[in-house]
Amino acid sequence: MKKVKNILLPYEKKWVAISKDNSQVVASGNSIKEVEKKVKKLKEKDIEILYVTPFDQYLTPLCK
Amino acid sequence: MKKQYSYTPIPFFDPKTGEIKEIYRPYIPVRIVYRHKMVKIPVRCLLDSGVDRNLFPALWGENIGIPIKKGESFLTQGIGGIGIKVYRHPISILVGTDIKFTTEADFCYDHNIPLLGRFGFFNHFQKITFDEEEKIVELIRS
Repeated sequence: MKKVKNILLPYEKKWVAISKDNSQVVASGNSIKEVEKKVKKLKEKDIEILYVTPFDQYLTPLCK
Repeated sequence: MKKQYSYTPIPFFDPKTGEIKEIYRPYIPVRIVYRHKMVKIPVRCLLDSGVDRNLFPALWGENIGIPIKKGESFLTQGIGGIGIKVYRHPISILVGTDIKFTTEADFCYDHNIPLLGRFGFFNHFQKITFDEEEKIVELIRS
């Protein structure tokens, strides 16, 4: 089975702190708050927070 | 004023082939502001031209002190007729460091993906273009 290389693969249904160029995940957690706390300790800059959607679902305007 | 953002590649499982592939989605990193309190780290929100209003996870709003359940509540409906309860609040949205506008957002405890909608985000820009070949979204503000 072919597998695409994507740094988000280990983080399905998690919130992550990701670098702007999508090259690195610096923290992950079950909530935005948890990720923010971890990022604060790391003192990382130039990062953004992202929710990694379930891999087996297409996106509709309503998604849990 | 123009801002460009590259699409974000998100893994998804293709049931036909059994492979993990990537789908590229147009996310915009934004910060929300409520009564002078601002989210520190931008959150990538999906730019969704099919959504009427901004829809954000409630816990994101609670992080900056928005009293979510004190907002006016509505039932919003998506594809499949699924209705969810949302609470509406006035906020400001910050895109980068130089675009800021006052708007509204609906907050929901049953929804995780922040969505930027036509009323509340799109209508604050002159033009928004989706370049599918380059996988870039461009925001233009006059």
